[in-house]
Amino acid sequence: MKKIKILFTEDTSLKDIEVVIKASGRDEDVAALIDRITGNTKDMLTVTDADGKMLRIDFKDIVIVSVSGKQVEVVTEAGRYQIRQTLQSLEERLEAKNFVRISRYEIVNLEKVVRYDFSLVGTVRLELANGLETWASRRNIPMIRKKLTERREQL
Amino acid sequence: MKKVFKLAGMGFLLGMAICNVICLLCGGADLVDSELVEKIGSEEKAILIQMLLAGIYGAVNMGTTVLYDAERMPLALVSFIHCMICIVPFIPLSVFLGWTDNLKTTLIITSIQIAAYFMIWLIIYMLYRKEINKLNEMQKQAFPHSETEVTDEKIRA
Repeated sequence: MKKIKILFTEDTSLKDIEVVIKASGRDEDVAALIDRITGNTKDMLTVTDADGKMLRIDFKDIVIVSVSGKQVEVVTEAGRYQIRQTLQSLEERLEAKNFVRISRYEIVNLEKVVRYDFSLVGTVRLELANGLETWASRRNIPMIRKKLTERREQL
Repeated sequence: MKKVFKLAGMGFLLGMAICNVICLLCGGADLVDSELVEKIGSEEKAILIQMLLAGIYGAVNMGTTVLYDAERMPLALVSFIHCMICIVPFIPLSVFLGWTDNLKTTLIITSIQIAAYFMIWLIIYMLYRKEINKLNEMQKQAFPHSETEVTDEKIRA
């Protein structure tokens, strides 16, 4: 992320607050800053890609949020990104949407689920958008069912 | 860990109770096998040892049911491991306590246990399959657009 310099100018002639952003171009950093100032951060996550570049991702584009070791990864159909938040805090933010915890390690966007399958060895497999697949904990099945029921009732 | 101890405690009591009930049903007035009494020296001590071993066996069986909570372990593998935990100690235990007369009876009882495990696994598997089919139906209703239609299209020159 680029360094941000904040300059405060006192102008008694102004009735409201004016914010002027100066940058070389309107990139992701600028967009993220505008979102933060305007409070438009509700359904967006700030993530970093493999090159360390910061991006803003809409909740609806997320397929899975998973934890691997100490890293939390946000997976979209376009790619994989890192995020500096715990799975628990993300679960709280995503809970109101179509997301559900499917195991200790993953939160999935139910909108991106193509189908569920129960293998012969006894694992719950989830086929996701863009050919991705993952598994769900058997004990989390009631939570998935509950979320789907809620969604059906909203329609 | 707390759950393991709680289940093991329950298993200990259940193991002792089931052992006494089966022994009474099969052996009439005798709670223990006469050969075990001879080996141990007194009937009281033989009953005590039998109850203790049956309790430990029950504790191990019940305590290890926590394996079913292991999220990443497939159901078939969990069932197999638990089946082995139950069956392997049963063979020497049944021979020592005189629950079975010979190897043939031991093998028959072991086979019944394996068949019971297979039935339990099959029932659990069928229930989960039903549940998953229901989830697929609910998914289609909740997100009608998420259905993917695969079309095999041939391109002709």
